[in-house]
Amino acid sequence: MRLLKKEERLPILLVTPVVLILTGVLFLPSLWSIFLSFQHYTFGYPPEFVGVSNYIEILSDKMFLNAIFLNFAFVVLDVLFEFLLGLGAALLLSRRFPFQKIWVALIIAPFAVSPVVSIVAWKNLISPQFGFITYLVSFFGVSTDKWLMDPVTAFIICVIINVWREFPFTTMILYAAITTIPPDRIEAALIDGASKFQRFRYITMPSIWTSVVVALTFRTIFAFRTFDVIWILTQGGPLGGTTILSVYLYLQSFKFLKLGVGAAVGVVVLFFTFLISAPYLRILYKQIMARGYK
Amino acid sequence: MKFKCFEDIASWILLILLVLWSMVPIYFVVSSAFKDPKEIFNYPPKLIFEPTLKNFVTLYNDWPKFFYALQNSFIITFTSTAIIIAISTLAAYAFSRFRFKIINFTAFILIAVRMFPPIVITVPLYPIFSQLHLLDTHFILILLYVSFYVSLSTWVMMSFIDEIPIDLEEAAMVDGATRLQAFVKVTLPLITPGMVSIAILATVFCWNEFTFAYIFSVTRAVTAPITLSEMLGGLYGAEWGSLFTASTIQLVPMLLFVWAVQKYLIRGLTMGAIKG
Repeated sequence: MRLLKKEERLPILLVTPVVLILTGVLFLPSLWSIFLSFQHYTFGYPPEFVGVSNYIEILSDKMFLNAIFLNFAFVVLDVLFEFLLGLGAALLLSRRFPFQKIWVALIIAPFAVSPVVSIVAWKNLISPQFGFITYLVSFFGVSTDKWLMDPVTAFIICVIINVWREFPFTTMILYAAITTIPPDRIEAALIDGASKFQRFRYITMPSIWTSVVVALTFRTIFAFRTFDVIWILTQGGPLGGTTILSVYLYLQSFKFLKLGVGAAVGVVVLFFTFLISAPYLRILYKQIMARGYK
Repeated sequence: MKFKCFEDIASWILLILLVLWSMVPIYFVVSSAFKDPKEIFNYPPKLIFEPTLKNFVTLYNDWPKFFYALQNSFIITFTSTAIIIAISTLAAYAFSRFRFKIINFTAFILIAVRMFPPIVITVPLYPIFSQLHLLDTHFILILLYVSFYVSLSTWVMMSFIDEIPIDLEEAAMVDGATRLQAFVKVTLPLITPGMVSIAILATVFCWNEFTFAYIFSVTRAVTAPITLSEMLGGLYGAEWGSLFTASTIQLVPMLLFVWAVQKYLIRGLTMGAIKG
């Protein structure tokens, strides 16, 4: 404490609880996990150094390579549809309807639903015996009997449920951004005779661009680590068709009890997460370090 | 004029479709909870029916465990949220009002840490918690939830405090208030919307969280989502009734809560994601 100037003591003291918790629970364990990825490690035995053999093990496992592929497919589909739905809903809501608040509330409702209840809800809808969707698609001669038994349809259902649960995040952020566009800019464009598309292209889009980029970045990072929805619905099956990286990590660590291998998968996930978030973090770093007294 | 009318109709249709997409899955869970157990299996599903509380009675008799888990969820959510609000407000105050290099850098690290995937740290933490005999305790879930949410919350709070001019506090200090008094008396009342916002975000997160609770709790500290997933896993035909009812009990309070404070929710999310 003596090293600090007097006026620096209070703020340091105030941030201490947050810093301690984050260091202890997130930061050190993450470093420890990098260390563990080079060890043979299981419950009840001390770690034993094995070099890069955990990495060799996962890289030569077809299931792992497939998990990387599925993970990227999942992220691309999930984020794409969340964005389209989120932006669509935000633009639609910004037209303003009578009872506006009720419509917004109903549309963002899935935000409040837990992963497990969303699985209950969708399993109910596609239940081959009594599902509502089963009933609807039966008119088109489609049967839902095998949807969860086929790797491809099971994967698509995972994406749909995740999109359903997560799109309100994008909707809320973009809706808030659109509603704060100064009305005089839109009026000016109207006076200039701008068409609907021109207004969207030259006024709405540039005004909400930051929000769009941030929403996409966040959703990409969070979609990349999806575990709950997939694990509850399929546990990675059928035939590994929904085993994305987090599921693979869970299976290796807590089912096969290979904690070293699990840690190596964790390092891969961390690496990708870092790659995706690097541009965002760079901008953020510049912004924060430039903060001076007002 | 004709065109305008067409556009209005189209937008109403789209609006209804969006509402159906969001609400149909929820409607079928909640309505089925009030259906007679036999009617749940009606095909095609009935949209109109006579409500009954039969499933609630069955759930109460067959799954005392669920109510125990619900109680755990309540304790864990409430405690975590309170701690999150307290420590993130303190930190946010420091980040917002004192801007020198170490503090700025700490603020950055705090946000960077938010990017860490929860599942990755379960691997190193599990053996440690197990050795400390901390598995399956409320404490461990509270600790994890606080760690994962404190960074977003601090960030949101910081944006709120940034918007309150420091002059107000300085004026109070000129009048003889200490720094702390100035903060508590002047700034704190002005940032209650921020505290409400992070309270909502944290509550929704803790109440619904699955991954940590699934890995770190077994029986004593089990939360409602975990018991629900258990019910879902061992599903026999007749248990759908209990499952829908339990799901409804887990879901509806959160839904009403989110609806009630929607304004703050949207504001908090926007502040957390965009500002700063």
